[in-house]
Amino acid sequence: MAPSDHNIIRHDAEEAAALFPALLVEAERIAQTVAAGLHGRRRAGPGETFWQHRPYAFGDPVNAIDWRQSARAVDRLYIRQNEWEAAAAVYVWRDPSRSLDFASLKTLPSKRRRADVLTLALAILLSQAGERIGVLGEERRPFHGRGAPTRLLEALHIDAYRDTASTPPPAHLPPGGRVVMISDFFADIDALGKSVSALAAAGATGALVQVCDPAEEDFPYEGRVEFKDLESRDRLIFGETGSLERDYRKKFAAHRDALANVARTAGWTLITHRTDNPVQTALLALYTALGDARLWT
Amino acid sequence: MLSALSFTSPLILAALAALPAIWWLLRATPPSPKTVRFPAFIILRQLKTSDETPDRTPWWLLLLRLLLAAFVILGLAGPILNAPPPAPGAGPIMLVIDDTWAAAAHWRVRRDMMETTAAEAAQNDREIFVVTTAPERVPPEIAPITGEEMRGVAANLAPAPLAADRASAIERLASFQETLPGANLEVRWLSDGVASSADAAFFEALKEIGAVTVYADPRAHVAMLRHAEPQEEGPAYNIERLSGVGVWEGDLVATARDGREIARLPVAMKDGERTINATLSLPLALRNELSAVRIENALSAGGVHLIDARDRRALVGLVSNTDQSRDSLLSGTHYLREALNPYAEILTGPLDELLRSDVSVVVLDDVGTLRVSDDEALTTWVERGGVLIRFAGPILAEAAQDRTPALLPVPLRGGGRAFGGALTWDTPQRLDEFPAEGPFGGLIAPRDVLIRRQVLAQPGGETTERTWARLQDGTPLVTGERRGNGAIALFHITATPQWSDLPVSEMFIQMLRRLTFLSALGPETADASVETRFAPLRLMDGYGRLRPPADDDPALTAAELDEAPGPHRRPGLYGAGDAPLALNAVNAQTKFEPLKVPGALVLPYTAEPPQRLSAPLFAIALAMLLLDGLVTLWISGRLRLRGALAAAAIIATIITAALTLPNDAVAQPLDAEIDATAIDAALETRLAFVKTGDPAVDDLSAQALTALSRELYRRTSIEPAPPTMVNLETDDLSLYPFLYWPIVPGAEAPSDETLANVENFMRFGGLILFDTRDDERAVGAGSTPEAQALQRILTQLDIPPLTRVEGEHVLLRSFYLMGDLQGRLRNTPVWVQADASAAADGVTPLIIGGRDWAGAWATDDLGRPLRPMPRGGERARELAYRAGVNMVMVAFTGNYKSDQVHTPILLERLGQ
Repeated sequence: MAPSDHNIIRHDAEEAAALFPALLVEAERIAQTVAAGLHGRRRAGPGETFWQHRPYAFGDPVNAIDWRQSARAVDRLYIRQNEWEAAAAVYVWRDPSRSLDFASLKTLPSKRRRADVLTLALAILLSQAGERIGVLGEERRPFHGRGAPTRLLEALHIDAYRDTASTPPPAHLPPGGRVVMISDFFADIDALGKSVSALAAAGATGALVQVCDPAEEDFPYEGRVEFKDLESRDRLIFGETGSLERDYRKKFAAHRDALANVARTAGWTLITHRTDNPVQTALLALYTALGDARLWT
Repeated sequence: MLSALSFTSPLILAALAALPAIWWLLRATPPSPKTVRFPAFIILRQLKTSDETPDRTPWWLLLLRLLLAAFVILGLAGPILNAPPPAPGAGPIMLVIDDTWAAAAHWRVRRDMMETTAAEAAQNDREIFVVTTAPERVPPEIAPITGEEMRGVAANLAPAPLAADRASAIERLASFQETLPGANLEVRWLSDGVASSADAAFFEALKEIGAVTVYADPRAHVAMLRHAEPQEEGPAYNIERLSGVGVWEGDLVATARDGREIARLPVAMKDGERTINATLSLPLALRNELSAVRIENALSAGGVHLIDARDRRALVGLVSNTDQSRDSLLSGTHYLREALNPYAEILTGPLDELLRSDVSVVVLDDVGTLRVSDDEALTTWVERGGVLIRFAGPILAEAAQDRTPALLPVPLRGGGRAFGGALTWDTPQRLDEFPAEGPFGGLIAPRDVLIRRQVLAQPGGETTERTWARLQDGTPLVTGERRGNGAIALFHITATPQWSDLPVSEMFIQMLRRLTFLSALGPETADASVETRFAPLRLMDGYGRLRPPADDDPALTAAELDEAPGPHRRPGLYGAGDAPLALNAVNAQTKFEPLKVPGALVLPYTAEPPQRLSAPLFAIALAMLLLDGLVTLWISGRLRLRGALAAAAIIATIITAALTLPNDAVAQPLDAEIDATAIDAALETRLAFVKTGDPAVDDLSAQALTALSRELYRRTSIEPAPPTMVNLETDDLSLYPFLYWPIVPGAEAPSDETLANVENFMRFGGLILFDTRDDERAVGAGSTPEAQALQRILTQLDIPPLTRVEGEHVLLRSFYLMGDLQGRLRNTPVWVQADASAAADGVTPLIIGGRDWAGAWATDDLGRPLRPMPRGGERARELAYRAGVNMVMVAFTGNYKSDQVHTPILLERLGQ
C-alpha cells in the first residue's frame, strides 16, 4: 500500500474526530500510573499546575523554595508545590487478520479500513487530550503528543495481514490501563474470553468494538452459493441459501451474545458497529465508554 | 423454398443424432454456483444444510445449447439455397441465345446461365456451339469452342438493340447441320420470351440437332415502349409487357437533349393488363426539347423512344415591312414573336431565303404587294403545304385601294374602317363566337378584346364562307382559305395593338397556334426525295443506352430511317446534333407477344443465385454462444446490470447483422416537404413564443402576444398575424423576427439542436426576449429557480457580453421615448447585449429580464387584462405595452432606429 492510504485513513479519521472534543480517559484510578498527564490528583506532586505553598521543612530541596513568596513574609521560607498530574494510557488492538478485509458492496468500506479509521480517530482524540495511546502487545511505550496518531498509524501496519493473530496477544499492562479491541471477533470466543479476563485481572478496563459488514449481519444471499473463507481458504457450498437466513441470524445473534458475555464478565463494554453506519456512531460509543463523564457532561 | 435447399456435405447431418447425448451430458453437469467471499465462516460452519445436491441446468438453457449445437452441425453441412442441379449428359452443347433487346432487361440471368454452361463444359470437356439470333451484318460461323472460351464469350456477349431474326437463324442451323451430320447435341435455347413469325420452324430445326431445352421466364417483367398517336396535351405512348401476370409499376421519364428530366409519369398496370396508354402532358415549349422518353430502369432498347427532330415545333418565317430599328413595342414583329415563341422557331429574312430554309409557316406583317418571283414561290410553297398568315395594316389597305393584291383569301375593299372615333357612329366591336367548322372552332371568344379598326373584305358568299373569325356585327376579322395542302389566312387587323386589343390577348397566341398547326410541312418532307445520307450520331445498345457509333456503321437516307431497324439500320440518332433523326428499336410493326413453343421443355432461368446459408447459421450459433455465456454468468451471479445490457446489445447487433440483407439505400428527396405552419409563418409576419410545456405559461404567452400583436396593429405599421408557438428543437425559427421565451422553473437544459437553432436565430437578426418572471422574488442575492433554469440555458449559448438597458438605448427610443422597459414588475434590471458594434449590426439579439411582460400584456378575447399590475395600475400596463412595441420595433427595424438616435450628432457634425 502506498502512503496515500495512510493519508486517506488519516483524513477520514480526522474528519470523524473533528466532531468530538478531545477525549480524556476517565481517571478513576489513574493515580497509580506515573506518567505526567492532565489528570490532576488533588495532591502535590510532579506537574505543571500550581497546587499550594507550604512552609519549608527540613529536607526540602533548596531549589524548590519560592523566593518571591518567601520574600513577602518575615523569617519564613515557602516551598511551591504543583499538582500531581498523570496521563492515562489506552492500548488498542486492531485485528490484523485477513477476515477484516471484506466489503459486501463496492460502496461500503472494508471492515479493515473502518477499523483503521476508528483506531486513528481515537488516537487523534486521545492525543489532543494529552493522553497516551499504544498498541496492545507491543513492547514500545505508548505514544503521546501531537505525533502520536502518525506513529500509531505506522505501528498498525495497515497493509500487513497476520492471519494467525485473530485473538489479542497476551500483554503486560500497567495497572489502570485501558484496552480497546477492534475486530469482527469471528474467531474462537473462548480464546478471546481468556485473553480479556487475563487483562481484566491485571486491572485493565476497556471496550470491545465489533465491526461487521451488513452482509454478515443480514445474510442477503439466495440460491446456490459457494462461500469462500478469507483466512483459511475453506469453501462451503449451500444449495438454497435463502432458506438459511433465519438460521444464520439466530447463530449470529448467539455469537454476539457470547461476545457480550465476555465483555460483561470482565466489566468491559461491547460496541457493535456496521460498516454501512457512519464511523462517528462507533466513535461516539467509544467516546462514551472511555471518556471522563465528568468532563463532557 | 425448401426444395431448393441442398447440402454440400450432407453426411455431417448425421451428427444431429448425437444431440440427445449432448443433452444428457449437459443435464449431468450443473451450472457452477455463485461464489462469494465471506468472513463469518465461524457461523456458517454451524449451519446445517439440507440441500447439497447440485442444481439442475434450467431446461431453457439446455434447449439453447442444443439449438446451438444443431446450428453448428447444420452450418457445417453447408446448406445452399437454389443450388444448381447437377448436370447430366456429355457431348457437345449448343447454346442458342436470343441476344435481343427483350433479353437485355434480364441479361444477367442469361449471362449466369452461359457461365454455368461454360463451367459445366470446362469441367466435363464438352464443346459448345453458340448461335445468336439477333440479326447481324455478317452472321458468324457456328464453330465449336471450349468451356474456357465460352467464359469469354459470356462476358463479352451483349444484347443487340434488335429483335430476334429466327428465320435467318434457321438457314444457319441448316448449313451447320450439313457440316456436322448426325450430331446429337444438347440444345439450350436461352430465349428472350418474345414470339416471332418463325418460332415453330426454328424449334423444329433445333430439334433436328438434338434434345432442346427452352429457357424462358414467363413471369419476368419485360416492358416495351411504343409510340402512339400524339394527343392534344402531349406525346402518347403505349407501354406493353410480355406477361400480364401481376402488377407492373414504372415511371415514364422524358428527358431533354441535355439530359434534364422534363416529365415523369408513374404508370401502373393491373394484374391481367398487358398494355396501357400513357400520355405525357407537356407544354408545347417543352415538347420541342424532348430527346428521349424511356421507361425508367427498363434497361432495354425496347423501353426507349428517341424523339425525332421532325417531331419538333414549327419553323416560322417572319416578313415585316416595319422598320426593325423602331421601338419594338410599336412593331408587329414583337407581338408575333411573343405569341409564336412558345412553340415555334422564328426566322426572319428575305422571303426567298425563308422558303428555302424549310419554314412551315410564313407570316407577312402588313405586306402589300409581293414581287412576282416571290409571289410564285409562295404560291407553290402554299400548295405543298405551307401556311401563309398575313396581317393587315396601313400598307395593305393602301395596296388594296388600287387592286386586290395576290395571295389573299378574300378580295379587300380599299381603305379601312374605324370604330369608336369622335366622328364615327359605331362603337368598338367585340369578337363573335368562332365558327365551329373553321380552324378556330372550339376556342371561346374573349369578352374583353375590342377591335377599333380593320380592313374590310368585299362582301359576298365566298367571303362569308372563308370567314374564320368575325366581329359581333358580322364583319370578318380573320379570313382564310385552304390551297392545296396549305392555307392562307388574313387577319384584318394589324399585329400591333394599335387597331385592336387582340395582339395583347391570350387569344392571339391560341389563334396563331391553330394556324401554325395547319401546316403540313416539316423538315423531312423537304428532304425525303433527296438522297442525302445521315451519318450515325449516337447508336443505341441493347440496354437502351446511347453509344458513339463504330466506324463501319452505315449512314442512312431519310427514307431508310423510316424502315424497321436491322443490322444495317441500327437504332439510334442520325444526322446533325441539334436536329437529329431517330430510328427506334420499336416501331408500329414490332411484334411483342409471349413466345409459345408447343411441345418444348420450358425451364425458367434460375432467377435467384445460389445462396450459401452457412454464414448466417454460424452467426446465429455465435450469438447463441455469447448468450449462453451471459446466462451462465448470470446464473452464477457474476453479471452486473450494465455489463448485461452491453452484452445484450452486442448480441442483438450480431443477430440483426446476420439476418438483415443489405438494403438499397433510398436517396432522400432534395426538397423536403415544407411544414404547413412554416408556410403560414412565411406568408405573414407573426410574433412567436417558445413552448415551455407548461400549459398555463404557454396559454399566457399566447394571450400576451396576441394582445401585443393587437396593440402593434393599432399603433404601428407592423401588422402581425396571430402569434405562433414554436418548438425550439424542431421548428424553423428563421421565419420569426421576435421570440418570447418565458423561463419556467426546472426547465431542462436545452439539447444541442435547440442551441444551434437558437444561436442561428440570434446570429441572423432574431430577437429573443428571455423572461424569468421572478422579479418580485429576485430581490435578494439568492437565485430563484427560474433564474437557475435561465442560467442553465445561457451558459451553453454563445451570448454576447451584457449590459443594463439605460439612458439612450435604442430599446427606449425605437418607437416611444421611455425611461425603462416596464413589465408587470420593475424591480430588477433588464439586460441586453453590451457592445453596440458587435455582430448583427449592433442590434441586441436578446433581452433578458424578469419583469413578466407576458403577465402585463395578456388579455382575454375581449381585451380585458388577465393579471393585475402590482404598481401603477393601468398606466403601468400602458407603459408595458409601449415597452413591447419598442422591443418588436427593434426586432423589425434593426439598427435603423439606433442610427436615428444619432441623428442630432450627425446633424451637428454636418454643421447644421
